[in-house]
Amino acid sequence: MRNKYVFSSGTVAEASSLQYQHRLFLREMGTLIPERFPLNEIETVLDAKSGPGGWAIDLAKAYPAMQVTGMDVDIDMVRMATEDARTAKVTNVTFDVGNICKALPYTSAYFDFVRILMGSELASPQMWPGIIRELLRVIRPGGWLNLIEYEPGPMSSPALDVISPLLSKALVKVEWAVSPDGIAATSGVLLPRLLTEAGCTGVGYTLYPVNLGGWDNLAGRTYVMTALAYGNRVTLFLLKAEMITQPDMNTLLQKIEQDVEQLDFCGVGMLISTFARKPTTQEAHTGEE
Amino acid sequence: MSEQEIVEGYWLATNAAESKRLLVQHRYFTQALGGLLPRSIPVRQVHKILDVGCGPGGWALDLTRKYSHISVTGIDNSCIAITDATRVAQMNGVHSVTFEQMDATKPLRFANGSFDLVHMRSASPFIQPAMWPQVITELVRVLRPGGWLVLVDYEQGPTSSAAFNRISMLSMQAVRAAKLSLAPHSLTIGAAVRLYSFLLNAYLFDVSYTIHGVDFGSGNNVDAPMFIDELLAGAANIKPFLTRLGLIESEQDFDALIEKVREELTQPDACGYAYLIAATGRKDG
Repeated sequence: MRNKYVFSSGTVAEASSLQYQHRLFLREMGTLIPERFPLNEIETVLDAKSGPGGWAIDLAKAYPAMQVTGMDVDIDMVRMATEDARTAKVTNVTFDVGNICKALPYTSAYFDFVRILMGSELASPQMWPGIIRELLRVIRPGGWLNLIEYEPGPMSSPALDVISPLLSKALVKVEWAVSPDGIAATSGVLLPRLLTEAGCTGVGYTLYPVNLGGWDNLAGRTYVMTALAYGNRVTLFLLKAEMITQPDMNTLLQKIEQDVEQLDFCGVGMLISTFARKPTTQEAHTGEE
Repeated sequence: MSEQEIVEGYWLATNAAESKRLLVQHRYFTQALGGLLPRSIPVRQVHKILDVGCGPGGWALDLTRKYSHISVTGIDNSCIAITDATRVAQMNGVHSVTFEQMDATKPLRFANGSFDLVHMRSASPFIQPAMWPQVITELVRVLRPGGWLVLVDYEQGPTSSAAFNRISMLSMQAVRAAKLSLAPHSLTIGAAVRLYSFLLNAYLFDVSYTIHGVDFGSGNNVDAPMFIDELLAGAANIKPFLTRLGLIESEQDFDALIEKVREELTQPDACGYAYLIAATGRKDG
């Protein structure tokens, strides 16, 4: 099993892109932990795909009483996150190497709250049921799970539009696709059902549209450029899957950059934030009867 | 088959069922948008509104009901929609709204500067990509200086129903075949994300847009099943066109898909969404 994202580069540029992503998504979602979760009942938190640690560090800073753990497959990300936490003098956060697709390095029923942002970068649709089972193991009875996926939407740039169909084809090729037609890029829309099937209670989701365009939206445009155009994830994946040649990709990236720099660039995406609760011991017992 | 024939005969059949479909859609979209007009519009300064592509008049009637100081003129190319809208207005004793049959892709029969605000929602199925700039120029012409132009359009997103996603795919292929897509490379209509650009390029000022999720989950919105039902009824309008294009084997196959969607998207853990983008700008002067 791979120890890297399906779109992988493991570079500093990647970490920087993920930091932009964190800022942008936080802007659109408004809070680090959605308001529906009772903060006063949450002490131990796991971000099971923490990347460079932006969310985990922000959470630890905002709630000094919490014990926050960040976990990532990429040892370089874990090092950077640990370094950032030390620099910021945040002591209630630690970072470990771990893969959501494997056994998690934590004891059972340890965490009150577990979240994963964009787990589909590591997990194919077939892998999710097993991943959810392992996540539920490390959550205490009555604890909460928050799985968030990002789906890119339509863009006003014709060059950017070239990327989506290529990506769909590539995902089908590596047997990572959610739907063969490429309508859904991630498992996001399937997660409520998978969580219900895994025996969770209180399953639901919230949609957060993400604005990538507009003349005054530097965060959105920068995210598009760092995540797509400079392509530390998506473009390398497309090249590796032999969906496009390097020279064609370079031409495409130049066009994308021109389009995204236009005053009238508009683009959207959607965050699907799925929430669920692990049944309490009592509920689990009743369910068995 | 001409584009006109596609639009009139196949793309959207205009009849009583269609009026009902559009009214349900109007209510659901208004909910998703968080109101009839974007919050940035100072409603007190708005007295005369033109609603372009008013359909059976749901938006115009709701607006005049909510704001007694506003009068709305609704125009639509469909005579049936106009007849329906006029009948409903009379039935409800609403006098501050009038409806007129008019083609928004041709010069409008209104004097310059006639309206404080012009509203056009879900027009993309009726406007050829190359015609957008001239349509918008004409809307700006009938707007008074300082008046507001509000454009709203739709783009489908993914759902947890594979059958629904298949129907989306077929609809997009039909849109492409009818040469109504503004995105040359992707299976999207591409209008919603271009409204912002259209307004900027029409030299409007204070141009901005907002993005809204249209939620398909019945757990989040009790009206979702009804909205999805009517969306499927709309999709069924294009069956003959899809058959003609060879995209489906038979109309029965499509009906089977629709049945499957009804089953899959009414589950309590069903998930799916679409985008609505609302773009606004003001006329200079």
